Amino acid sequence: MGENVIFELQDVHKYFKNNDGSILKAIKNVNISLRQGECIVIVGESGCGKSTIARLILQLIDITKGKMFYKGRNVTNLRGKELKEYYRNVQMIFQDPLSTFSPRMKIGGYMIEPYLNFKLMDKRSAYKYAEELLEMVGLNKEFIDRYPNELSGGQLQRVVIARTIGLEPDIIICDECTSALDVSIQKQIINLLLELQSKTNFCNIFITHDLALAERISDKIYVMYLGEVVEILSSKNISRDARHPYTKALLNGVLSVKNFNKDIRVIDTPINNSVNIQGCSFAPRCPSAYKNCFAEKPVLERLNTSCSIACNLY
Amino acid sequence: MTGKLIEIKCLTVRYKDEGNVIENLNMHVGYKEIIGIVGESGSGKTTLIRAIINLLSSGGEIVSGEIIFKGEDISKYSKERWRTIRGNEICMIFQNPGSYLNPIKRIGSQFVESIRSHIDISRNEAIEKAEETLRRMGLCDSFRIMKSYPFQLSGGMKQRIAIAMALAMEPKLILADEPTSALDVITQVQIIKELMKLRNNFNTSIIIVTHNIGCAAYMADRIMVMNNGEIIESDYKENIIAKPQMDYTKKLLDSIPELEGH
Repeated sequence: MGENVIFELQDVHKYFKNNDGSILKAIKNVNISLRQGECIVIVGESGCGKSTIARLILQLIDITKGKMFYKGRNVTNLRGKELKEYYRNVQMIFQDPLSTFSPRMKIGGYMIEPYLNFKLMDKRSAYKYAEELLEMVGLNKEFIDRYPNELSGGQLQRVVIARTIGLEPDIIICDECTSALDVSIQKQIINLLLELQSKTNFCNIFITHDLALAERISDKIYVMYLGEVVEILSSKNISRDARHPYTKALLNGVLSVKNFNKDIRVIDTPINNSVNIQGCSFAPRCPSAYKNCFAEKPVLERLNTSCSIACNLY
Repeated sequence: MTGKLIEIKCLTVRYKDEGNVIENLNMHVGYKEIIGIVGESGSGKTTLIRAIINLLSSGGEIVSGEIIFKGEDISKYSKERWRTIRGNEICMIFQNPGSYLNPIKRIGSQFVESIRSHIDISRNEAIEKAEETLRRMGLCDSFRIMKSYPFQLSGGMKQRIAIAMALAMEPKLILADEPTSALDVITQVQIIKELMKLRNNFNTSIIIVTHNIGCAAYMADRIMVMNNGEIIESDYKENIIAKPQMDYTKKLLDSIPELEGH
């Protein structure tokens, strides 16, 4: 295990059973490592397994095969007390802020719940702490007596972030946490997260399908396709450095105001999720696939300092 | 692109408790033109297109103004009169295709019902028409889709079906309310391309409402920026993007994350 690595997934697999008894391989052989204070981004289209990874890391579902390490300790499929301790350090922010709130609970009640739950402080100091946190994320502390439906989506997402930060976790997983919000609010939330990250030095696992956003905030980008990592990029200019045809297709889908007359090529073939794919799983949709791609499965290899790739072309 | 397909004059829309949501709004859409309306939530963009198709949510009403479509003021039409235009000449595509389709009916029967409520043709003819429209939308597997329930289809497919249903009547005007924001990148691009093809193949005009100014820039001929129920800036997209006049437009342009080397 490398230096400063605080979290690691080793050869993780996750299989689900379909209704007809067949097995769906949702996650295949995924390796992810996370250093202190790092922000990694997982991108891919819907159905590629990015949210499954988040739920695996959060231990909402069990790993089928493989290991998970947190601070050098094996934390695969924890139970009971240990799991509770683990939850204190790993927190998640969901996509739709409104659905994470109980509609009949005031913001204050929502905010203090984890601190009471983990027995970190008594009720009175928890309320006081909640007020401080609200001010830290740029909200008025009087919000503590409001109900969730009185707040806008952006404000609610701030409350969620405040509560999460208050626990001082090591890892925060953001599952599309800005895609339900307006563009301008999205920018504010991202800036808030980045600011808090530089202050408190937590690790961030950010899940999104917006590559432009990924490029802005990430130290490392994992591109996923059908449960596999096909490319790892650690670059601040991904349209120059990306090699994998799938990443290029995703890049192509980023609509930019700078370049609105570009011709967008479209991948028309639908996603192929059948179990017995021999070669590269992207080959049926790949514009530059050749014969070998349907026979031989590419493995993830390091191409240069900023790019690792699983593709037969390289 | 000469002439006006639809013209809105001094439109004011009010919700019961909130006062005027749209005030004194003027705009027009030409033949074969795509208009992008951008703005944040609460700026009144959805209210505007709902007012055009006369589907304001409860408590909303058009207080004053005219909506002139083919020389007639459609905002004064009766319910019965509306039935002949809505879905026939003016169609709407909603943000979430999942809630637009009936979850306990097969696509085929919904599609046939929607066609037969507008044109007087037999069941079999309607099925044929539906399958043909689906194929035109790039859903080659039309037979299987007609037999499927909505939950068996992906989000992108459902949105295409919703567009196909709108298209089957070959409307003059399509109103699209955030048609791609519930979809992921790859499907989003597919849908945008399909909509742009519509304009070229069927001479349809489109009003697309979005908060992604990048999407509007790619699709539209003209962009209108809305804020607080008013159109604060409206121009050809080249001008809006190169020389935005209002601070609000600049802010919107500024808030989209951009790729470094694009």
